[in-house]
Amino acid sequence: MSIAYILQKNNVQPRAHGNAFQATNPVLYSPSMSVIEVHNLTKQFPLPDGETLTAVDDISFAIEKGEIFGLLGPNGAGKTTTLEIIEGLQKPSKGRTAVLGFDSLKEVQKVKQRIGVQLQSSSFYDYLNLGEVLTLFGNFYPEQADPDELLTIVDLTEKKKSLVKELSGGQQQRFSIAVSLVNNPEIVFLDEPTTGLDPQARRHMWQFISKINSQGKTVVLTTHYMEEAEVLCDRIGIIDHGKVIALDTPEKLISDLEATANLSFRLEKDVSAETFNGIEGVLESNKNGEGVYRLKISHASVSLPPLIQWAEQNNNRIRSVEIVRANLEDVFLHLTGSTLRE
Amino acid sequence: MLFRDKQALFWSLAFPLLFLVIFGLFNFDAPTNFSIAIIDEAQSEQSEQLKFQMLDLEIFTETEIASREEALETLKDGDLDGIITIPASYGQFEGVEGAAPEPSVFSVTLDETNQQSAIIVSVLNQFLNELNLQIASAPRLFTIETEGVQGQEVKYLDFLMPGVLGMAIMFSAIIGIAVGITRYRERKILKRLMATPVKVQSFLMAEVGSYLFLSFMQIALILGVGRIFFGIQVYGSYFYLILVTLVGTIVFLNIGFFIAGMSKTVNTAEAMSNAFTTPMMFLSGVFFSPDMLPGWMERIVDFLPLTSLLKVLRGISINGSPLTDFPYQFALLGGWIVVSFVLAWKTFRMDRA
Repeated sequence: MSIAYILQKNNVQPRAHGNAFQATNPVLYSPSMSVIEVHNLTKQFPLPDGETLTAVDDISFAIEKGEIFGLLGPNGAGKTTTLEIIEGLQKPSKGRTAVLGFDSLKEVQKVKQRIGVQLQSSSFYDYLNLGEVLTLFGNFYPEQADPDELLTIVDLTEKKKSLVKELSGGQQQRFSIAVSLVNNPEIVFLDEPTTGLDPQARRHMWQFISKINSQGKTVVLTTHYMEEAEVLCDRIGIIDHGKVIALDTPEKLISDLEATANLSFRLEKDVSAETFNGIEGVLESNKNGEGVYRLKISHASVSLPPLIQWAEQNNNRIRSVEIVRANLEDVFLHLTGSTLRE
Repeated sequence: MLFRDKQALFWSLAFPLLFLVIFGLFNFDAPTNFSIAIIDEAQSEQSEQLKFQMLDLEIFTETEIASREEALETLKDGDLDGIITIPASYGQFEGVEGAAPEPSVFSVTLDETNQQSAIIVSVLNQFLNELNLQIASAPRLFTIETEGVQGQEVKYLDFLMPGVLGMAIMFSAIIGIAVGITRYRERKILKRLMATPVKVQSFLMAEVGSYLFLSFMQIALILGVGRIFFGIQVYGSYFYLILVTLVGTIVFLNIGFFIAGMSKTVNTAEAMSNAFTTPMMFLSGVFFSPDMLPGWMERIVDFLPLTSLLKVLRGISINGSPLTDFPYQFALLGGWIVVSFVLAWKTFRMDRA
């Protein structure tokens, strides 16, 4: 199995293109199109007990123009810290980042002028209405988008005269995305844009993010919802304990898994789970207390025919068959040995 | 933002006025009056005459009470300030020739918890001395004439108003900045601003500007209400008064930023602001002069910014002094501006984890 996409040591990569920012996938990588470059980035925080916490541990990657790039990982993996260093809000301990060719540290004003930022759970002034907040924030930039247009994008036109605190949670999230667009930025950073939203509002939000992306803006987001990453992102960096452990398109990450499907079924006559280890393409097999067999298989087309054959030969009957395609959760489990959620 | 929160704005303007109104209701300047019961044990013509003379002073008002027991009861209830007993021996000394007579002993019964009642004793004492002198026909050799150095009558409210002025700007600047900025930080508004190209200095200057404007409104309101409703006299320049108050505002704003830098939560900011402002309000002499403090304490209190500010404000308002009369106070205020600015600069952060 090829594990080329697994960046166990992120900076030790084939440098066939002679560029330190070579990320993961030689096919997608194109140096002329990178809008964000992260180079050997490390961030350490002193802890109260005198230890140091390494929030970001020597990571490198590049983000291409026009894509939706997702940093996927559990809470505390280092997603927000990475984002805030790129945005110029935090200083790196080591390494450097660049946005549109401007250094996030040395040319921070130029970076800030060209990006839009939505912070995780930030709020705005209580006593300004939406239109006024957009005008106020617009005044901080040389180039300003029209507040009415911004409200149209996030479907809040009729709330223009409302105060921010009068909005629902989902509306506030949408509004903070609108604020991130006040300077008509080339790149938009969204830090957990759907955290705390109900499933419907989350799907609604995905539409807005796609809409923004379709206007030619590069979108960089963080999330700990693998479904979100899978649906929304062109490419995903999986981040855990401060390291990028995989970076590719969702499809590639999944198809690169040895087990691309999970097969589950019941049997008329119970047998031991080990029975199936001999069947072609079965990588792992187990049985739960309710008599449900679960097999991790490389491909359904490889393993299904011999399984049916086995049942016929042994006078058994297979019931309630379910084949579920592997998802990013399986990728994360495979890479880290733990699940994404908590 | 400051002016959008209309409730908060109203209270920061109304709060100092409240002090002015409350203290305006107390009539500190009117002559004091005590209600007393006079128990006449002598029951003579002379004692009756003495009683009239006593009440003639217009400092005592007699309450007619039948018995000593009833009088004591009324005194305990607080409806009476004191009981004066004229001894039975009063008026009988005339019969004794040659030798000095035994003094007649007047007794005064007081409620010790009534602070002002001690004045009754000194008034009575003076009254009896006077009486002694008259009866002994001794020549009056010494006398006192009082004269105010200010050349004008200063009422308590005239003294209070500059105090309220200083207190008002201290409270609104320190608490406003400390709590306001900490709240912005806690709610990540500061961080959001940091994500824009706006400069930290521009944001802070805008905050300072709006608080200076608020101070100006407070000054105008306090001076206006004081003048119109309470007839408070300002003998000096209004312009100096405003100027000096704004200088004080800058000191307090710096202290506010310092507290905002020190505190991680709004609750801490509130507690720290109170720890700075409340002792200063009492020690620096908003309501009464700090001269009553023990000497060492007074010297410490002299260093507080509000003390200097109030001295200058009172000087201008009450005496009409020019600014050049206060080099020490201005040096101290200048020092405070520098020190508090450095402290604020060292501790203040836009974001804090």
